[in-house]
Amino acid sequence: MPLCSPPNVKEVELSIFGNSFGESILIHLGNNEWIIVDSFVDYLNKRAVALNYLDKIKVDYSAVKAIVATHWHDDHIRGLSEVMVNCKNAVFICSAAIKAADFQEFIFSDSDLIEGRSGNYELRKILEELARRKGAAKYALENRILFSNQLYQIYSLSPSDYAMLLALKEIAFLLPKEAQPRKGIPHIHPNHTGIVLLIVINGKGILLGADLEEKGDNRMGWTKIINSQERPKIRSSNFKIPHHGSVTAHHEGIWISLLDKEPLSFLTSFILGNQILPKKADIKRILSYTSNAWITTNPNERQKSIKREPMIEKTIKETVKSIRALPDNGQIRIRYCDSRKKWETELFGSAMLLSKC
Amino acid sequence: MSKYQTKQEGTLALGNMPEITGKEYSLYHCDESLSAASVDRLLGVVRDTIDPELLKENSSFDTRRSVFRDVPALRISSSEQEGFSITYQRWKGVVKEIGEETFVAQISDLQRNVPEEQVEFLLEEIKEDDKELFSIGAEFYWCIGYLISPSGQQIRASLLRFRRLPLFTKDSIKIAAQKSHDIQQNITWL
Repeated sequence: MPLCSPPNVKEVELSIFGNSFGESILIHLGNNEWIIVDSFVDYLNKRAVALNYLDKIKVDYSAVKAIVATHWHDDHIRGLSEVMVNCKNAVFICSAAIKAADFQEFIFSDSDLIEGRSGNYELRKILEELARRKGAAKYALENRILFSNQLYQIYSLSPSDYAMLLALKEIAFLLPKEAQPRKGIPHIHPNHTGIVLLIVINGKGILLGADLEEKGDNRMGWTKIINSQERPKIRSSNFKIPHHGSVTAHHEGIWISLLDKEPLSFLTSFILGNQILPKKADIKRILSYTSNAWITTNPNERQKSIKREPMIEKTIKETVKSIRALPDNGQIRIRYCDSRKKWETELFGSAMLLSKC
Repeated sequence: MSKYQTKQEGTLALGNMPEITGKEYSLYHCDESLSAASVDRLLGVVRDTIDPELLKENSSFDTRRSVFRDVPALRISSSEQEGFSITYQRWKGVVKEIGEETFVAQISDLQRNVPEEQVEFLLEEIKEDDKELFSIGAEFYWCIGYLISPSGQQIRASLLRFRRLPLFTKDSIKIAAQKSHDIQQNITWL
């Protein structure tokens, strides 16, 4: 199918976008109802990739029912405020940490930050937009039903109460103090408050793992989800692998208790300095659980360098230890049509089979 | 036509500058952080007064302008006391990761529509008076250009300059708390 062809009204679609420093997922629930999970910005037109895609397939933004910020790391949230401004009917879903007064005070204390540079900026703009239009928001917690109707149910499986407690403690510590210098966004660790979503459509499960990590603590992370007695006991046939395939987000129980055998699995890569995900060992591990795995960009592929004038190039070489451009966007599109009883995968841009990395 | 214009078509973007005053200033949105004094401090260059006529007499300068014809905004800052700096490439960046000897930043080109890049800088690139601003999430500008010394000598230069944000005050904290409260009142939490 050409990229610009929209799903038919009964066709479920998952589109996963990534560029090694950005992840965004669009889901067509059926009946022209869409959900956007996380965001990053296309460098070509500086717009959120999710909006670019909806434009391409000619879907009106009013069809977006919910916008989910799984957490506030830059690679998951850039452009999300633009999505919120444009999708006027959408409910905003976020971690309960964001609803806390302390967290919001923290967000609004940094109002001088450069546009588009940070999770803090995006969250501030989203909350301002919601307040401006008196919009609706919902916070995600362990085993909460976010939406439910005859066609689909959407559950949040995390964050756990304990993870929330840790996050709030951390945020309280970061609250601004008089005469303290502003240094931009402090380094906070929101991965344990990340929102894992279970989307059930016509009885079929889709598990979106966000960046939730595993610490071996039965009060939080994947251990808490797997051991939960309250979570819906539905196995998923589609899986967004958490935290770019990192071993820090791995728990064998996910593959045993939460997923069908050989699930269709997909992930985005992540590059930050020397940190490259997934590593070779991660790829090998994932492929030992499923051969149906795709990735939006190959993390090991040598990136094209940006052409510059020789004088600038020479000075860069003398000044920096390394420099690399982020790769082009990749999109994995998976559609399920009831009449064909089959998921079909299409790859666009730099997306590829994980086994070919 | 000002005395700083060259024979080269398009000039050196100095056309609107009648003369160099003793104060640092900029052309074409030049950032304050790009003053010649800043670059000088970085490079340890000591200057006398520059003769601006050297600019148009310097043939290699004209050549360079032609080589960098695709740079949309050639920007020049100057000081009577310290000479000229000319910026050819400018990025905005954010510190993402700090190591023992290096730090990683994500930068975006302020002049061209190209993909963002990740750069690993040595910590020693950070100027002494910027060190207190340096942390994960800190924003900075990175510029590459030339310094023109009083004698007309061109020195290639790279400069990192961290963004200065005002200190938190009692009022700014109070305003943030009030804003947070107002926002909460207007969002319908389901």
